Amino acid sequence: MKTSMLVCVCMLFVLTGCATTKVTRTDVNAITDLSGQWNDTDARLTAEAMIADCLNGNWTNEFNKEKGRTPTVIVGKIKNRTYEHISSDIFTSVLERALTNSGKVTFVADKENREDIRDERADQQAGNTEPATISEKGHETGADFMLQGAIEAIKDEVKGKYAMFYQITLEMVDMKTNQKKWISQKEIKKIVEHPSVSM
Amino acid sequence: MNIQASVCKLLCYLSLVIFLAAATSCAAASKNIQPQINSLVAANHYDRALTLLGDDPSVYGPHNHLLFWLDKGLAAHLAGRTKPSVAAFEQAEKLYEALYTKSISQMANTWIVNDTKEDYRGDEQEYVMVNVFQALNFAEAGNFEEALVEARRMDQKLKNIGARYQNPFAYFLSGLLWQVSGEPNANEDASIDYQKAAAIYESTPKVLKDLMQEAKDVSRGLRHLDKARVYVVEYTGFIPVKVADALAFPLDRTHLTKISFPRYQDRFSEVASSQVKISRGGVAYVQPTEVVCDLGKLARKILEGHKAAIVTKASIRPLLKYGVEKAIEIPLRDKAGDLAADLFGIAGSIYNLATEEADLRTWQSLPEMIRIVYFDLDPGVYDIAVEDMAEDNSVTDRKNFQSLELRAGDVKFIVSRSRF
Repeated sequence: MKTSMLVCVCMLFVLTGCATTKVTRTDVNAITDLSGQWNDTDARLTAEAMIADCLNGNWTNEFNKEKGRTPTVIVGKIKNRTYEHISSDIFTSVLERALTNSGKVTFVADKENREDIRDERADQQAGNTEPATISEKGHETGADFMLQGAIEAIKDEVKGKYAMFYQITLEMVDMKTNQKKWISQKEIKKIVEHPSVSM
Repeated sequence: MNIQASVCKLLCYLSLVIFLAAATSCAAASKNIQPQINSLVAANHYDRALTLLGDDPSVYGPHNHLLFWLDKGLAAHLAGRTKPSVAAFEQAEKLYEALYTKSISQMANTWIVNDTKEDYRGDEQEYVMVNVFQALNFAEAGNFEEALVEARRMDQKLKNIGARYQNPFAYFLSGLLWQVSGEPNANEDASIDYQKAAAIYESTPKVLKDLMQEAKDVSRGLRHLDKARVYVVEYTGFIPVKVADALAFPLDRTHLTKISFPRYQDRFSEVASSQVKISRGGVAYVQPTEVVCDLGKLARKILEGHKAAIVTKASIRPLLKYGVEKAIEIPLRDKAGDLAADLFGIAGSIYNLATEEADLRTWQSLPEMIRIVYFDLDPGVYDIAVEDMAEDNSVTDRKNFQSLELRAGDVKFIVSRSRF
């Protein structure tokens, strides 16, 4: 009987080779670290930290005092200097929304969106649009500041384990003077371990 | 014969039948289309290969999902479809990370059946080549920031790979990407990678020497700002395929077994050399390409490095199977007689011969060689032709890239693939 048991155990190992996929829906705010790579939680935490820092900063008040209006900002390049293909749009759009809704800052369309808008405006001039509803060209709002920054990363790795350190820096640069009026940094550190074996 | 012996006999037969069925079930249930994909890629029919591949990695069999994503990424890269190529290679990267964790059940299967019962993990070269092609995907699209992400990944991977299996071209490409990136300290970073590449090459390619000199000579500037630079990267030939060396021999009167292990076999390529012809307004410049990466040679070196472990396992496994079969056969002979035991022995031999097969899996759509040449050109519109040549210098194939518009300061990457 022992030999039969041995064969049965072997058989079990063979049969467990075929597995299935399981999907579970979850809250969008839940922290989900699956691979250890930059994810939605990192983008959200970065945006939250940056929003608080930006709204507490003095640069908007100074501008308001000097010009008598809210500053206009354009989102520029957020450089990716990491080991991953990170889309900075996720946290810059959250930041954009929060700052716009706070009433302290006005955003204008960035370079990419601007081209689409200009194409549409040009199309309006083509004779198919009701004249009273046409948006004329030459009335775009110029930005006072450009939001720029970088995401940098350091990876320290040994077999099956690595530490990843992200540093996200955002700067508000005065378009006229190139002066940096606001700088904010958020740091994130993760340790990722992969088990060497599983069933 | 008492009831216990009958039950034991029945259980043994039943177990063997189920065991054989289970061991072969996964393979039988799914057909591997990799050979068809390789044929289509070899004939430069990349779009047809992509259509056949689809989105379901199970068409490569249950344990070959990594190979599916590697082939898909490369087919899309060769078809000039950057987005699907990037997406497929990203899937491969995720799978590489997940495959670090080995499944105990699969490991057991490699001892009970053979090494193909474990998920394919790729070798050290394939692990890095994912990032080489990804970097070239981004470079072709002019996105050097994302290309540098791949350069960082290459660097990290190369640190973790043993010095014996380093691919010098990965460092070369990394240096090149730093040099054209416009990042602060670009030339210094490029020089570091160029030096690492030069230290690995048996003979430093002239193109690398030239670029090393350029990176050192900071006063010449990061780029020729009044000219455009065009890098032409050509893949030629196909990486050797793995074939099995097998040896069948008897272990006793009723038991036969087999040892099988892989070796590389060359694939024919008619490309002995290649050149790039650049023309504008009736004036043509011709330059030969230079081999900067011999993937076939490195693949052989890696297999040689792992051969001792592969052969040892291939030799021990049949003995283990024999041990298990004997452990069943001996009590069976006592309880059910010689005929039943002999039949079991014959069934065991059939099982041994059928299941003992070498793991011949590789990323077969990889080229054998990577060749490179670069030009500094005045702004204008150019026609580019990549010409493959046979031993007798006759042109065997020509790929045309027409009406390439270049502006001062532009850096362009053109990727081409030879036929066969």
